[in-house]
Amino acid sequence: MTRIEWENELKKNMKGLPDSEQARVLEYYNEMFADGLEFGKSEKQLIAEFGNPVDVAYRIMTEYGMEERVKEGDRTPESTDKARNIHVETPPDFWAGRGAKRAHGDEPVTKVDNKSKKNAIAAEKKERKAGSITPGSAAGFAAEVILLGWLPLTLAVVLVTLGISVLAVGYCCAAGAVWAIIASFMPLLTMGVRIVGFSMALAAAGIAFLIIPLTAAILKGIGKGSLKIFKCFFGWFFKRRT
Amino acid sequence: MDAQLKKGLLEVCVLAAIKEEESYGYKIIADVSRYVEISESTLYPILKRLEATGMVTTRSKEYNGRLRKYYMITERGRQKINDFAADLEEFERIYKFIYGRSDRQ
Repeated sequence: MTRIEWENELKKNMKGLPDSEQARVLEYYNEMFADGLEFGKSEKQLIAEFGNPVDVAYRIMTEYGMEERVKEGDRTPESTDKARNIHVETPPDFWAGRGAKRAHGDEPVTKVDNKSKKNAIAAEKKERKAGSITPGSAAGFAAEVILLGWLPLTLAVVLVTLGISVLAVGYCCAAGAVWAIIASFMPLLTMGVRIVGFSMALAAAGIAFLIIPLTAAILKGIGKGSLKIFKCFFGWFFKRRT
Repeated sequence: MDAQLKKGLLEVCVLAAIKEEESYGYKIIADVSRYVEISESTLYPILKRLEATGMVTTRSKEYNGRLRKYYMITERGRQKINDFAADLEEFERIYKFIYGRSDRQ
């Protein structure tokens, strides 16, 4: 889940709140994201720290007595009981990052020590150095630029060329039809030539009237298909980033 | 820790975090979480309640090209911390009573 998706999900589950309050909540979490990123955390870590956006919305709605408006099925099982309690499930590395001293009997869900934290950081650095194309690396960035910039551009050029070609054929037929009609009425030509010319004009006009709408339909279909391909590609690509 | 007890404690902890100087959400969590568990979703309603009861005021200040909200304690907020300190004495007597220690010693 990305930050935008998290915030959208939170907003979706706060529908019962006044707009001003929703804006306030979103502004609060926007700041939390911005500060967290500046403190060196990743978007993914922050989302894990903030937790399920439905649970967050539930807790906020509870303050307003509107908790019943949050869809029960989307909440984590513990959230119903915990919404009125202060305790919140925290990710394993939450306390390791914050350096908190825990009171007796108030143990975290998963014990984290400094060694585990160091191992996790080292593993992350090693993965980045391995040269694998990850969304965060320079190679990943270059791949993104090439794929996002070149592919759609090439497809667009092909589509435009194809469109022009098909339209040209159609208009040639139309032009030919017009010329043939004019020629069929020229007094210097014999009757037979005139009849042939008129027939050709009719045939060309018919072809033009068939090709032009057909071209439009083909282009429309290609356009829709391309849009679907782009959407799938971008959806896959950005999903991969998370 | 009991939820209701913790709820009251956290409010005072947040006030204590901004007692000396104004602070912002993420830093408040970083400061308070050294002593007691608190999360972003817990802090928001606490700050809202404190602001609604006049113990905290807010202002926005530009930081790194964006606006950041800062929270400042008021006199009422300082009074709340003082009241809590007084409550602690009573709490200590109750603690001694529960664990069988007499305060007549």
